[in-house]
Amino acid sequence: MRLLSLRIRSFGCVEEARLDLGPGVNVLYGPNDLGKSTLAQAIRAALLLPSSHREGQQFVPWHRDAIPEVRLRFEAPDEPGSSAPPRTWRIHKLFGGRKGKAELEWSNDGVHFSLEQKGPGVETKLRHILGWGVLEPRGRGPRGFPSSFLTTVLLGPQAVPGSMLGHSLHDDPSDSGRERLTEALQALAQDPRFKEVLDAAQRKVDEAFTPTGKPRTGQRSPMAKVRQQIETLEARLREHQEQVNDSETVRRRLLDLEAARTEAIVARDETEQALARARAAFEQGRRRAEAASKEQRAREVLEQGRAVLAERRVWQEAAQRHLEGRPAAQAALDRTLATEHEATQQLVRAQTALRAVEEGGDAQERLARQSLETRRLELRAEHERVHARLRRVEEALELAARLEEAEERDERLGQDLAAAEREADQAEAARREADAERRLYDAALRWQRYTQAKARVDAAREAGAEAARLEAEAAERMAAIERAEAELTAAGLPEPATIQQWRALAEERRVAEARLGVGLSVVIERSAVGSIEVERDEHEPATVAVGERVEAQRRLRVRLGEDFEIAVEGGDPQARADREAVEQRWADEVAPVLERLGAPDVAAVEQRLGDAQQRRAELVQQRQQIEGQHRLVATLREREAELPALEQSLEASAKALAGLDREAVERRAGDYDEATLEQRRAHAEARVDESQHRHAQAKSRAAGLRSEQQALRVQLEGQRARLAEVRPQGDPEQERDTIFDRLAAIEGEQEAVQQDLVAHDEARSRRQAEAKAALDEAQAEADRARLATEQARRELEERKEKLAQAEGRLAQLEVQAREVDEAELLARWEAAADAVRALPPPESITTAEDLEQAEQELNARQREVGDLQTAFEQERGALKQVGGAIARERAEQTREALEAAKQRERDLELDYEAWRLLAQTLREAETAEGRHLGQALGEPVHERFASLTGGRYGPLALGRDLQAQGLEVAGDLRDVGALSEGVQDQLATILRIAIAEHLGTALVLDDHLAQTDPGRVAWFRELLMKVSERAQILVLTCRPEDYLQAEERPAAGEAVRDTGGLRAIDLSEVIRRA
Amino acid sequence: MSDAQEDDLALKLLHTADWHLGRRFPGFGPEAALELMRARMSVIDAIFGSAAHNEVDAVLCAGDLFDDPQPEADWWKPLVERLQRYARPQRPIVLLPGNHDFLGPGTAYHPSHEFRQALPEHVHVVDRDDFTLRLSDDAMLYARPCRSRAEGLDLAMALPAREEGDSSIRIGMVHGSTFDMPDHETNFPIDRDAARARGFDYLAIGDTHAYRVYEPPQSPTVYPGAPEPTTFGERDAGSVALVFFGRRRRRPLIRPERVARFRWEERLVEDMPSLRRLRDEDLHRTVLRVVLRLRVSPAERDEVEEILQALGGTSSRHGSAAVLQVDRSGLALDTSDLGDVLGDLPQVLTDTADRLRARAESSGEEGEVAQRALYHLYRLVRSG
Repeated sequence: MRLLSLRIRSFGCVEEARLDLGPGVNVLYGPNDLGKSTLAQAIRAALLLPSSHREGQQFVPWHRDAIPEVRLRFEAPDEPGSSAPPRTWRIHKLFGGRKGKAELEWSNDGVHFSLEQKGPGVETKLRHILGWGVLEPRGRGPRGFPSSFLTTVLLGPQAVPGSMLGHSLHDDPSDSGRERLTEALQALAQDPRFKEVLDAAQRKVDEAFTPTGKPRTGQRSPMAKVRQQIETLEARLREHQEQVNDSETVRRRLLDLEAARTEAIVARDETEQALARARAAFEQGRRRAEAASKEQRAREVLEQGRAVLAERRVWQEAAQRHLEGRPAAQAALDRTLATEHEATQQLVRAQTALRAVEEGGDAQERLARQSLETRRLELRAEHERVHARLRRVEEALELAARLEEAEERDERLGQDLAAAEREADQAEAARREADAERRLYDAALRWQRYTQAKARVDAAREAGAEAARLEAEAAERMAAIERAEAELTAAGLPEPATIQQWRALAEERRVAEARLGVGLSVVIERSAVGSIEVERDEHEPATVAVGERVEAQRRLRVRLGEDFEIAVEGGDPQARADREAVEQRWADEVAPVLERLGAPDVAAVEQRLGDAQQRRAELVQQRQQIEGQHRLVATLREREAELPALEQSLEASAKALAGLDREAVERRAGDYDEATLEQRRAHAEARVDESQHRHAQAKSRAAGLRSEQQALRVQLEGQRARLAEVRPQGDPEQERDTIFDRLAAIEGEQEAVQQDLVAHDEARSRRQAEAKAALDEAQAEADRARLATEQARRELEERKEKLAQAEGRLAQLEVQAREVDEAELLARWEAAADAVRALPPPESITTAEDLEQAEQELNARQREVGDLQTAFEQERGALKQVGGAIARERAEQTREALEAAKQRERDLELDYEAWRLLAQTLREAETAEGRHLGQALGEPVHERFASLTGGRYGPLALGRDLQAQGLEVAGDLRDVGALSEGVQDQLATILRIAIAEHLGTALVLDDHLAQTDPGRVAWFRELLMKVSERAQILVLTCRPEDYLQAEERPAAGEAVRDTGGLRAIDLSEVIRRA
Repeated sequence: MSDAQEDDLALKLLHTADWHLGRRFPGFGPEAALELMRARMSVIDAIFGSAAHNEVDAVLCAGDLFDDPQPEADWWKPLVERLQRYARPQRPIVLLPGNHDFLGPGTAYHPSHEFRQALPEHVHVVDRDDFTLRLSDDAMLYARPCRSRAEGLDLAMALPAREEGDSSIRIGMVHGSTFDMPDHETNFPIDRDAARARGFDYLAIGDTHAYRVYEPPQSPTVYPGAPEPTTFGERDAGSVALVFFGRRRRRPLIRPERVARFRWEERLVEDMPSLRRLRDEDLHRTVLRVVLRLRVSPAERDEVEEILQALGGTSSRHGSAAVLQVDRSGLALDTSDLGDVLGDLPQVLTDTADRLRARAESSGEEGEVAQRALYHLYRLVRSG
């Protein structure tokens, strides 16, 4: 995980800050109390703190109410520890308690982002991406920041130096941190045998699965070949199966058709036989039917003859009966005719009475009704006339009132118009005044710019002079430095490595000398000479007495008088030879140099070398100062180079002052600074604009009022003319009252006339109903009489007609009866019946229709057989086209191959799943065991710590949960708490760096190593640069010189400077404090 | 056959069918499949060698010589070479189109096809429905070709019946299934009584790959079967039929003669000793399918693989079996005993084995995967 950029707003003491981070070491520096730690806090909050968490309240700005906001961009793979290419993530959080908001977006190209999560889901996803051992958020969460071992290590806030050493993975709420560390540290601490097994298993897993655990597809998959084979075989099987199905379908159809064809042939044969039987029956039936027909006809002739005779008798009786009934029918007709005449007379009378009623009764009655109608019409006409008069009077009254109102409004409009015109005049005056003021301030501003330009020109000229002075001074100092460096070179001091070699040689001398120290003892028992002088080891010669024992370690020299001297040396010959050789090397290599330098020993030379190095360092510092002086000169020269442009600008400013009253302007310009003048000019401009606007508004309003007044006056004229037309002679109010009285009288009379008319009409209706009832009764009686007459007349006519019919029919029957010979007809019939009995009836009755139907059925059966035969032949043809047994055989062959291929695929899948399970289980076992974590980190931490401290301390003992258990010192395990705070801080920093390095993630060091000397800080700087290839480091410090050379810091006014893998950020340029 | 018998012979025939040249074997690996395909061509030499050795009067090939009606030149050209080599005036060869290599436009037997045009003089193709060929003074061949892959027509019953007074040896030759065969309805059904009904002394048929002879004895209906087996489970395949007609009796003598290069065998192996014995057998002319139905320890599993390698060969050496196919679906692994291979391993590896053992006790796929994972672990640590 690498941080890319941070943007915060209204966050604690910081109003706004924006910074882009480099991939390596980022040194963020600034003075105390600028907000450095707030930035670190913002990073922690963005990555760890839910936006609605109560802890977010601490970020609310101190002096105003605003919602703290942080935006952080970083890159990390989707799965923690994955080797997949990292994605760019963008977090945006507003810490507003319940109103807090959070969004997480992702991008593959760093340009186009897609929303990943909103709200609470942001934390879940973030904690998954980071894998730092923090639990997913639940509810509003516990107090304080969510924390874990890794959050403390990587983002740890300022705390007691080295306090991190007290943390461990044991307290982590989730195992994800331990899993990430275990994975990252595998290469360091795994048993070689285990690693070999895990690597082999992982290689197999990688063959079949992607880094995200998905099965590989395409040609890279080990399953590709067998799957391709399965696809091919499946396609081939489908093809064969279709052929088999086709074959089977055709075969079934063929069998069905064959069965159907057989059935159809049987049915056709049966139909043929049935037709033959039907034809025979039909012939027999036809012959019998002919005989029966003859018998029928003979019987009919006989029966017809007998019927003629019988009918003649019947008609004779009927004619006699009709002749006898005729007189009675005539008498009945006469009676009904008389009754009908009487009823008709009565009906005429009733009709006359009704008509009289309907025509209005008698003349007097009609006259009275007509009089009432006339009066009603007269009253209606008068009512309309009076009402028209009333409308005119009311119109006159209304017009008078509206006229009065309009005149008042005309007067008000006149007043408004005058006011608007006055306001327009005032606005114009104000505009002129403000414009004059604006001009004055404008001129003052131009004057001030002229004076500023003049000051810049003077400063540029001064910068040129200062640059020349500094250049001369720098040249002098440089010459002095070069002289001093020449002196140091001339001193001919050996290199530090040579000193080390000398020290080693001196040690060798000491050892060689020591090896000669075997211990010597001598006693002079007798002496002919007087004095015995003994010189032992490095001691001065001394006189000893006879019999006195003299002890020495390596060397002993005894002088006996003037003539004898015994020299004794300890050690074996080899030891002595070695000492001689060492002495010789000393005499050749070291002694001449010591002599040349006039130094008594190596320590003195070393002292001088140290002084010379110190002096060189001072000279380097002086060179750096001179380089700084050169940069200053360059800056001054740059300013000087701006002089022509500044002079040009000054000239332009002077021209802008032409034509102005310079004294007045200068006075005004002297009263205010530039900002105030700008403000006042802007204010005057605003007043001009405002006055112009007011003037325009007033003018517009006056025009509107004028127009409205003219329209009102035209309307007034019209109303006056109309009033003159409709106004009555007298008082309109009195006239209206008179009209109301008259209208009331007319309406009263109209009501009385209407009541009379209604009473009259009701009496007439009553009489009309009575006449109508009498008429209906007379009409019914007349109808009954007429019907009775009609009935009597029809009966008489019927009798006459029936008599005539009977007489006519009798005449016909007499003619027929004369031709009938009943006996002969009877004989003929009996002969025909005998012929019928001679022919037996057929077994079934078959008609011509039956016969035709049977023939049609036979034809249909034959067609059916033909159709089935055609279909059968077609199917046989189709059978030739399909595979039949071949298709089945090939399908079976392909199916077997497919099953074998599927078995192989299954086998492979299970095998690769087994590899995956093995790799996974290996890791689980490794994580559960976990001992190696401490071992893995302990060694590199120890190496670095030893390098830092010159091997003063032994290895750091780290437990399985990475808790610091102690430090080996002189063979004992010492509590790290016993170390000084500075050393604890250094040890903790080394451990943190090691963890970040192995995780390949960002590490925030907030004001650490505060109690560390400059030499060790420089060592740390080197270490940070070295690990920056694998981890991103953010150093927040108030001492930039600890990490940055002068040339690595951004120039004045700039915020960022990149040098190699180092980015320096001047926080005073990027943080805006609240 | 004795010399006396030989002198008494009126007619000697070699009846073969179902060569299926060009047949593919998708159930085998590419190399084995090629071996099996090539064997189909090499068996022809054995067939014609037998014909020459037995001095037959004619070679009757009753259909399905090619697996496809339009075979590739790789198949028909070598066949032409062999026919040219073996055909003699006194030993004609008759080729009958079967349902696999039926007669039709564009097919190998069509007069316009290069194969047909390249055939030597004494090779006859049955390309007419009324095909006849005199085989000797008193022997006549009647044959009718297949003209499609499948048809409901009984070709045997479509051959001309023996006429009144005809006493010659009548040989019929068609391709199809007799009525007692499965699916006979669509694959040129042949009435089992057709030989007697049509008055043939011998009805030569091709189609089924097993050697079969149908009664009655005086009018036998014969399938010689495929001369080279085509799959496992084909019983009595790998032969041709030699037919001898005596001068005095109509009933022919029929003798199968083995010509196949390979024997196809399937072996069910249910214990390790059986598998070990298999390794010692002579299987160099056996197409072997080993069906494993046994539960083995990891060590035994290694041995299984070693034996299978010995049988099937490796890229550097031939196996002891001609061709090997293995069905491992019944091979189960018992990883409860990994022996002492984990004895000196780091704790983390023994922990891993314990975890996998616990999972291996599950039923179904999870247990199976864990067993395999244990086996992988076993192999890795053993080889390391």
